[in-house]
Amino acid sequence: MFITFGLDANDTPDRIREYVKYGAEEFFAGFVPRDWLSKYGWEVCPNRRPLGGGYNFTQVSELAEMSEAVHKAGARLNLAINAHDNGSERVPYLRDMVETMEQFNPDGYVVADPAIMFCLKEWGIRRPLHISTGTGCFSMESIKFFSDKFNIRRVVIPRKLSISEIGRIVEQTRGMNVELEVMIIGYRCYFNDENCHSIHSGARRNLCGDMLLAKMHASNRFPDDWKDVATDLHASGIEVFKEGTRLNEFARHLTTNQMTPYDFSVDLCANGCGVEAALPKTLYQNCGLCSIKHFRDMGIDCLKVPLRGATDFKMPTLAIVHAAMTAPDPNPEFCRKLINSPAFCDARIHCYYDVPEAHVKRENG
Amino acid sequence: MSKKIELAIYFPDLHRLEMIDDFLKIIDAREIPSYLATVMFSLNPNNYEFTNNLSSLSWIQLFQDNGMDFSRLYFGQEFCQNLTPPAEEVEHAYYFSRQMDWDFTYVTGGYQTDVGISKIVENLTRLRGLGADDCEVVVNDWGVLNVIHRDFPELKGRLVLGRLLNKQTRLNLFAQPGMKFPVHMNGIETVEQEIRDMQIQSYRDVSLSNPVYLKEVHEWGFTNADFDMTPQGIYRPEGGWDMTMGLYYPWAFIATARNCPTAGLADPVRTLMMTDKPCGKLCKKYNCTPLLIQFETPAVQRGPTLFIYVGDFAEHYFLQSPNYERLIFEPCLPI
Repeated sequence: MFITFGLDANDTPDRIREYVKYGAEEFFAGFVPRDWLSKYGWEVCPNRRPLGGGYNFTQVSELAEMSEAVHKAGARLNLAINAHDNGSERVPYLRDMVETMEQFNPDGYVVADPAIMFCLKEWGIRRPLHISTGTGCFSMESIKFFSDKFNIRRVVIPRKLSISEIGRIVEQTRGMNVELEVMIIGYRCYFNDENCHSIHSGARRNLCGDMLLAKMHASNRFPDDWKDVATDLHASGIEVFKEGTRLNEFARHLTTNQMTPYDFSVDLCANGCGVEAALPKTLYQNCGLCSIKHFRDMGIDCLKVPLRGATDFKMPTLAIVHAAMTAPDPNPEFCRKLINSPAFCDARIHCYYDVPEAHVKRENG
Repeated sequence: MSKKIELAIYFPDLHRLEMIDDFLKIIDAREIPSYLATVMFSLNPNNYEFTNNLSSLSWIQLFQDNGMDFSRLYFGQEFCQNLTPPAEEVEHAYYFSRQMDWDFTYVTGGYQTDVGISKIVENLTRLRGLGADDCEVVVNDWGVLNVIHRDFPELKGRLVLGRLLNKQTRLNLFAQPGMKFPVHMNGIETVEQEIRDMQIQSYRDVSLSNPVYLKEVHEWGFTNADFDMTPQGIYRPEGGWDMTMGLYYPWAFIATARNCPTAGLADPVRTLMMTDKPCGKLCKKYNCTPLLIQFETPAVQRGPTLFIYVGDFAEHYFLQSPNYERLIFEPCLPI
């Protein structure tokens, strides 16, 4: 098992060497050329990091330096062209971009859109492809669909699968000569990446952030006969404001057995020990350390630590993932010590995957 | 309107298909006294599903007054593999379409695990057993397409590229032509309005227009492609991809997931994560919607999927010379 780690324009050769010491055998990055930016701006991004300059490389010279540093450090570099959808008008620009990237001998491309996979083939690019989470391979059948058509080295498994579902994919793809990668830490998206069609921008609020802050309303759906109720009301007039009327029954139906949705915006209560939950919540957002042992045991090849654009968070995050990945027994107790914030770990909304044993003891005790 | 448009109606399950008359019943909301409308509809975003059913029916009525009528049934579940209808329901729906002398389209779901795919295989097998050799299948998942190519080759030529495989940008907010939405201009020297215009143009363009890809899509056996209506519209090249194009109305989805806040009402762990526990299917009883104040028309969430009512900009599609061949009417949220 190894780590693949996201790079951006703030990463220097020194930092890259440091990352390699912490288990990053492989890196991925995105490149947005200046002429692309001048035409489309940041929001229409070829690699789904549309938030601004800190998330991508925009200068060929930076890309060259980074590529050289990665290869010198004995690591691999994959370049991301993983936008979900790429309108035909952008394709010539993408081709120019790929031709530029080819100069630096990337070890592979991370791609989401089948249209781009076919284009790469058409353009004579034979480098291995990594199927991005943005493609949405939730099954052995979908992996087979792509591996029959392309030179697939790896599939990034979508985030919203249970550990046992991932285990099933691992089992079923043995012998297919495809590596499997899972996301392990950082923001895990409110919706499924591959099925979120919202526009992201560094200049305005984004849907996923708002979802976490929004007040949720849960209410009973209308009864099947609601149109009859409405028609009756019209006929009956003010008389309907009495007990026993259809309107009263209707209103009662809406308020019966009401349920309260989870409120993500509630601050976590500190319990007096360890780091306050707000800190790891900011640093890691979502954490899957407790699941690393499961993934290692089942034979997952690679852990993805994304963090493009989060320069200051990179090293501490990489360090704890590396510590868990290389520990002989990274059980939940061990991982909790790495985080050192019981309040953060107790709130299961922070978990990347459902690892029941990470909570059983505490919930029972 | 001279071009012939096929009108389809879409139901996600048998219960709601059986309520078709109720869903199509037209009542004039303006006739309901406002104090009663307040009690019934309130300002709860979950209730927009019902008021919008009334609004959308007025367009459907207009189509029907102009000689169009339903001639196709869409049936099946796109958004949650826990809700994939069993084979018996698919069979009922198929017979219903026969009785109505309508064509039948079986809608398969997106983001399917192998467990989900096996349920779809059962349904496709049932349809084959019924001799439904003219039925169409909407494909929303690459794994499902793989199985169809291998095990149901007779479906080639009757496949519809579903809206979950068409990754068109759908966030209606900020995508309205003419609107001065904020753009991140850091490090960019181009005039802001030019960037804005170019972004709108990009959001109109889709991968399907890429000839390299389109060739493969044809070879895979797709003859139709379904889309959501978006305020920016869809750029369709001359020749229309050599496929028919369907548009869903009045609900477009913006985003969907396997985690589900509605399932999370009974099991908070499910709110953000997948578990192996069976789902309580509370979406059959509740809507659970975030109050997203930035949307002019509130988004409505059912189960894991955030929908937007497209009524505010559907007129643009309806009043211009139609650039689509099929309208897929959703009388209810399709979950």
